[in-house]
Amino acid sequence: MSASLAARPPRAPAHVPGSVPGRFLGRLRLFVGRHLLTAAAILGMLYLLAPIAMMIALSFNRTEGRFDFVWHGFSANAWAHPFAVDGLLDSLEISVVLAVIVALTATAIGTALAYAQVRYKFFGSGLLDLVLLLTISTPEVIMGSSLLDLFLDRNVAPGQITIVLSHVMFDIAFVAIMVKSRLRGFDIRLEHAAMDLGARGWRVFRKITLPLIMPSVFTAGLLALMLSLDDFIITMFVSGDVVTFPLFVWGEARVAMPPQIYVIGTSMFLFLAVLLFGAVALDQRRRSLEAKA
Amino acid sequence: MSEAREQSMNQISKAPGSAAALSQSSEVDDVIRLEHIYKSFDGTAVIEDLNLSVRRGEFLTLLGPSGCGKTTTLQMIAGFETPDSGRILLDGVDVSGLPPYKRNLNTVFQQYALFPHMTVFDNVAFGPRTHGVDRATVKQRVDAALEKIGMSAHARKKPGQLSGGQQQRVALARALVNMPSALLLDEPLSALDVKLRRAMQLELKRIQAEVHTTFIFVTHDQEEALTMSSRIAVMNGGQIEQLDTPEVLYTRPATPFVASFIGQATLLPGVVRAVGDGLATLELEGGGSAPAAAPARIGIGQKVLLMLRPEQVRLGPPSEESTHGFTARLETEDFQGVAFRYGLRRADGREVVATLLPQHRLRDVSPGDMVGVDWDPAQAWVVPGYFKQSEGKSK
Repeated sequence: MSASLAARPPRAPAHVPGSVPGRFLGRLRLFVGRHLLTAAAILGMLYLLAPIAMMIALSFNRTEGRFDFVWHGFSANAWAHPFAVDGLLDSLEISVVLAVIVALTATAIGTALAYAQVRYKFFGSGLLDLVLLLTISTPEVIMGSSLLDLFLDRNVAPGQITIVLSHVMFDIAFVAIMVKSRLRGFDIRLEHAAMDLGARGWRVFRKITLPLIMPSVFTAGLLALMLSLDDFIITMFVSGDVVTFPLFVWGEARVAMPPQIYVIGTSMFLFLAVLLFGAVALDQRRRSLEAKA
Repeated sequence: MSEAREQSMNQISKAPGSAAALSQSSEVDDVIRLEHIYKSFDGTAVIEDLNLSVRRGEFLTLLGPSGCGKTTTLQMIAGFETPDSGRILLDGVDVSGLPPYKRNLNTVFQQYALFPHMTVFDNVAFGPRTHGVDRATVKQRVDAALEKIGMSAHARKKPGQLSGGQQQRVALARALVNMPSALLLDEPLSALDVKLRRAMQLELKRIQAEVHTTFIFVTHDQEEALTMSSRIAVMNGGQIEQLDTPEVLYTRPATPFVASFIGQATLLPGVVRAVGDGLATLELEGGGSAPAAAPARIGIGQKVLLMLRPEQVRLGPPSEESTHGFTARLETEDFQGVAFRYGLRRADGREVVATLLPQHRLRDVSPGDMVGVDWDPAQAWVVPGYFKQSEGKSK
């Protein structure tokens, strides 16, 4: 190999070097071609993160008077007194309690639904897929107003119960779709092995399937929690005189925003981000374990 | 091919020493019996009138090419598939309609299917715990099972931390700890590399001998089947072509399929001209007289195949006065370590393969020369059934 290389005559230049500006343009094109994707990714990320950065920045705003949209300088005052706005703590408490109830209920029902759809063939399973998609894609304004009609028609007074019923309804669809995609990638032979060792349906699910899909179920639950915590439009219709956190913010924003709201927003963001990253990391570990075994 | 199979299926039941004949007498101690099993998927028949008796304590292999129905058969025994018709008896009880968890059988799956989130110990303990065995007994049984397969040191590890061979052992322990009536193994060695595979074959055989549990093993690898099994059921097209010991399958195949699937063989078509004393004399198509051992049922005038294993073929100078054998042109000579392999071609175009030990190597002959082909009639075998010419030439 090396002998044949040595014997070959020196290679002639492939092309005559062009003018200096020509070469520069060529390199520029190469540089742009190589880095365009990176640049686009960074721009995209900035675009997505800008509102969050704005929220974090505003939480440190030194406000003149109580409420303001304008930047006056740095202050940690709002972080020192996060609940120093009338009604904020109450609304937050209501939202958190309702969201936890909603997330737990919707995750349980959504997971069961997903398992049923992926593991068993039953009449109406295909229709159910359509219904789930419809639930997600129906405009919230219409959903909210029709829900209110439904509750009033049934003589159910709008309040905490109607909020929970409505939130669980749309959360189920999200949970079911997420858990289904995980279950489709689940190695069915693990369930067969458990059955082969004498386990029946429920034990198979509890001991084998659920532990392995748990990270995905957890992520889905987290999404359900966030969606409920955050929902404004449907809640507005069905809340009666209950004021959830988003409704409270809406009320405040019509005057001017206290920086405490940005403090709460930032805290929620950080809390959920940590949980989400944890869940994703755990899920990947589980999957790689499953792949190796 | 299908007529050949039909013909051969008839013969199986009558051939001496064949499975069907034997199973009549040993009916009492059959662990598993399949009776007239039919199974089709989406209208395509996969299993057709399958009958099988598995004796207690034996290492039975279902061997066949992919799509022959061997895995489906195993899954019907395990309960993951239900036969369309027919009965499956386990320890004399009809279990055809029972789900897997109600059958005292355990499976070692192709990719092991170990539970990735549990330790080795918990994996093995899953069966006993599911059956409500008390804590102390579970520990004792699991420890004993891990000891037997040499995995005690790894009890606290997760499957993902183990090598392929170790996972294989754990899968085996997880099944055996339940003391099943029979252990079903679905190509369990196919994920291992060749060297480890050979080692695990011997280990599986050792463990089987030690625990005296009936093993039903599925594979497409005929060498693996020959090495490990006490009996092999050769499957083709959803039916069992022949069920017998590896030695009988190799030396006395009942059908052309078995003859060509197990080991290497030269199959030459001919017509029976004389029978007697367990021998038949064939007149080969394209010339040559061929005496060979034959099943009792062979009759004069029948179209059959002469089977010559490469190591049974003797080569020498072509002789005019020889009463049997034929001449062929030497085409290739390859050294293969333990032996020389010779490729020969008859005047009618059919190929003959011979292997000779180095000390019997042909001197003074080179490719292109004519060679006399001969064999010991007691070793050569007449296979009932008939290939079409094109099929006979391949292999």
